[in-house]
Amino acid sequence: MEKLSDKDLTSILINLMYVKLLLAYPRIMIMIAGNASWILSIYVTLIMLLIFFVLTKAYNFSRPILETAGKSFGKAFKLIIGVITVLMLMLSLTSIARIYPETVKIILLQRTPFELIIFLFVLTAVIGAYIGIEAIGRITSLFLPIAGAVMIFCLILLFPYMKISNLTPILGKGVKSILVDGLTSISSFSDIIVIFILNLESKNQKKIIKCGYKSIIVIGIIMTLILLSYSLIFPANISENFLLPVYQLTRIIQIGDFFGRFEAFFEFVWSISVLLYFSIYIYTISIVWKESFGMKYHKPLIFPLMILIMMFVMQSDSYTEMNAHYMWYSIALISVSVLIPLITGIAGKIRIKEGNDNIENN
Amino acid sequence: MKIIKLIACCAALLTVSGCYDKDEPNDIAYVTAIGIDKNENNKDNYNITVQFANPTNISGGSGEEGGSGKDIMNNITVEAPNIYSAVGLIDHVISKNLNLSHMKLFVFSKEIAEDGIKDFLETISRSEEIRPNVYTAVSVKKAGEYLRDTEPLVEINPAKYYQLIFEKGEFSAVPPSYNQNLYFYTNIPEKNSVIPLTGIAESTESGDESQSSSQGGGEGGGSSGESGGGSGGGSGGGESGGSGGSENKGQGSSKSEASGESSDQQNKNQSQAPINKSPYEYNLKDYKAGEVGIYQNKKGEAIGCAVFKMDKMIGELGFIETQLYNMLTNSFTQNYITIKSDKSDTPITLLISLDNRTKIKYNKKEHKSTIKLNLSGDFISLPDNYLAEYDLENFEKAATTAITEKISDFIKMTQAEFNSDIIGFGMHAKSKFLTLKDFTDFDWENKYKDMKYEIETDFNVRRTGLTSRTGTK
Repeated sequence: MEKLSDKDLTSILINLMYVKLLLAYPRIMIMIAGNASWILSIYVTLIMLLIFFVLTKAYNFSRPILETAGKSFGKAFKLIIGVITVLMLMLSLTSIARIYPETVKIILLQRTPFELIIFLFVLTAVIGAYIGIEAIGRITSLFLPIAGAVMIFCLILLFPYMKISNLTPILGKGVKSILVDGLTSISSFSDIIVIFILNLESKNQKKIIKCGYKSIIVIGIIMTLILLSYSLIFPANISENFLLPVYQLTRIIQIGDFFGRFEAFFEFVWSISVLLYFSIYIYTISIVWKESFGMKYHKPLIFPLMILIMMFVMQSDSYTEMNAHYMWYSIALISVSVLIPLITGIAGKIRIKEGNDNIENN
Repeated sequence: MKIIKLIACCAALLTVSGCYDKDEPNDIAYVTAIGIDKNENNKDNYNITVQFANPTNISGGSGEEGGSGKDIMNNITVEAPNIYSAVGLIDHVISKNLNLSHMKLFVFSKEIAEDGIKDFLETISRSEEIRPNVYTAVSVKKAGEYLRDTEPLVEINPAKYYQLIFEKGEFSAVPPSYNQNLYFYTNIPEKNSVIPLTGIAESTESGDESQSSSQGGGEGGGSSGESGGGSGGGSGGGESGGSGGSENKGQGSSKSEASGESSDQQNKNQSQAPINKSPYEYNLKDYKAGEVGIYQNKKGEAIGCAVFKMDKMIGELGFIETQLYNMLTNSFTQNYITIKSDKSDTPITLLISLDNRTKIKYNKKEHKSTIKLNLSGDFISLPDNYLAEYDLENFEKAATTAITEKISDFIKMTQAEFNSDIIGFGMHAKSKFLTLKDFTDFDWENKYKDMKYEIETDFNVRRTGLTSRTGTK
């Protein structure tokens, strides 16, 4: 079975969460907290670090989640956990799979049929999933520094457009909005569940936990920087009108008189990130499905999964409808992402005898 | 296997030949500007003028054949309810597809701007095709006429022409005017918008200067469009500053006889611009678009600005007030200004620049803003009878007072006449509130007119040019 190195795992986790930041998530946070969305970002990152800390205490990383579920309460429990996980992953993937082609249609390919865009993206992702998680992990590790450089370069170029006065009133929509309503935006970290699912090369618990922490902190920093830049540039009452905050930021960059379409770089980074995201998800779903139903291979599942995903994606009649339900998707995602590893981890701790583990605690 | 791979690679090449969204550059007509006017027959529709470039007539170098002026631009006006329906209609008139991605300018007629432009801004901000840095302007006459009559003479490329006109940076007499900023400031309470005024200088027959046209100048000088200073004769007495200290008498009957130029080609509106008699920019006409005296018929101008309250135009600013606006909003790079000293009747010209960014602090308790302005200047021309180089302290004091008074008059005007916070004091006031709700409840829009202010101007003369007189004769 293919296994992931620590570095590739960190890259995969960062990419999964990064894609959400490039799409609708910053807007959701701005809608909740206004120009204080950057404070909300710091707040949810701290909360997520706390949640992850609790999860690491409850969960034993020496084996993937379904193996733990199977060994603790048998096949039935494994099946239940597997099906819930598959549904959660499908929900997460279909929301992105719908939003991304829609935004591509809005900003890049207006005349191309929407179905063709979805088909091409899912098809490319399926090829990635066939190649396997090791290859995806390595490509992600290679690509992520490029994506990071483009993002940093973009933020630097945005300096001239920033106005400190746009950050005020400092608490935006208020303390309650940040502390209570803002909790739903923890779902931007929901992809952390992948760390519990994938078969990891390292059995060193500390190293795996470090990968988790590292990815949460990196995403927290990127999210805060994006939201801070956005809040510094766009006045509070207007900022929540724009569907794609990061794209909107890249659109305003103008270097001299000769270079005014920086979003082309962004679209390049964005497309590759999303393709990797799709591939990782399709691979992960097929693995969970295979494990849940005790199948031998995951590759034959990939093509039927592609058909299923495309069907789910087409369920929403319009992008507007999809956007309206995005908040509920987010709440469902984070609940499942936290509860499944927590329940399975506790079950494992109770039911699996310590002597049978291969944990290296050093 | 190798053959299969080769065939697969060759087949893959076919996919790069194009897709649904492919556009051949030769099949596209690039829109450079759109003008929006009222339709007199149907109130629900507008007359939308689309100006697009004829790329085949834009030559790259002097050796190539190329058109100039009108040859390179085409204008089509259609009646339509909005911008994109007009574009759709024109697409059926011309063979090429219109593309708005290289557009440079939106011009609203004054009538449209006074009625409100929110619907248009909504369309503009929603469109992915229209860039956020398209310039916006208000035409003092019909927007369509402005586009049709503008004939770039020095610049061949029309898009470049608009860029040069609206983004001069140095010596600019127009405010920054990106459509994205206009969209922002028509939707937020803490700042209102100003955008450039455009017009066409029209020549007239000798002695025909008493004619008034539909242009802004025709409504007289002075700010806010109420304008004194008629052209017919005698002093109009329009007040540009809206308060004491700035007596902007309208020019009397100025027989248009420019030295060495035929009077029958002088701009018929220039006589209508009021002359500024305050020490700051002494004896300079407070021009608005269409009023600058030039000797070329049908020459487009962008000077002065239209003042908005939310999305509705409520007045106009002349060249001098626009300069002050740019100083207060840090959009000012440098400009030549004239200062009249008590010691000489001849005004002194300086090249003024902002030493530091203009700082504004707001005191919530006193509802008062403090403006700190740091300016420096270089002598450009000095009167023969006044050795200002040896009287720097007094001159600097006089200049500081002149600048402070003029700015004070300007702020007073934005409060009393416009009740529109175009300078953006509200953006600084916001920092004194904790939440957006607190600021909204404070009702800045209505409290702006009662805001007290204090101006602290620091002005220093830095350089005297290449000469410094000795004072001996």
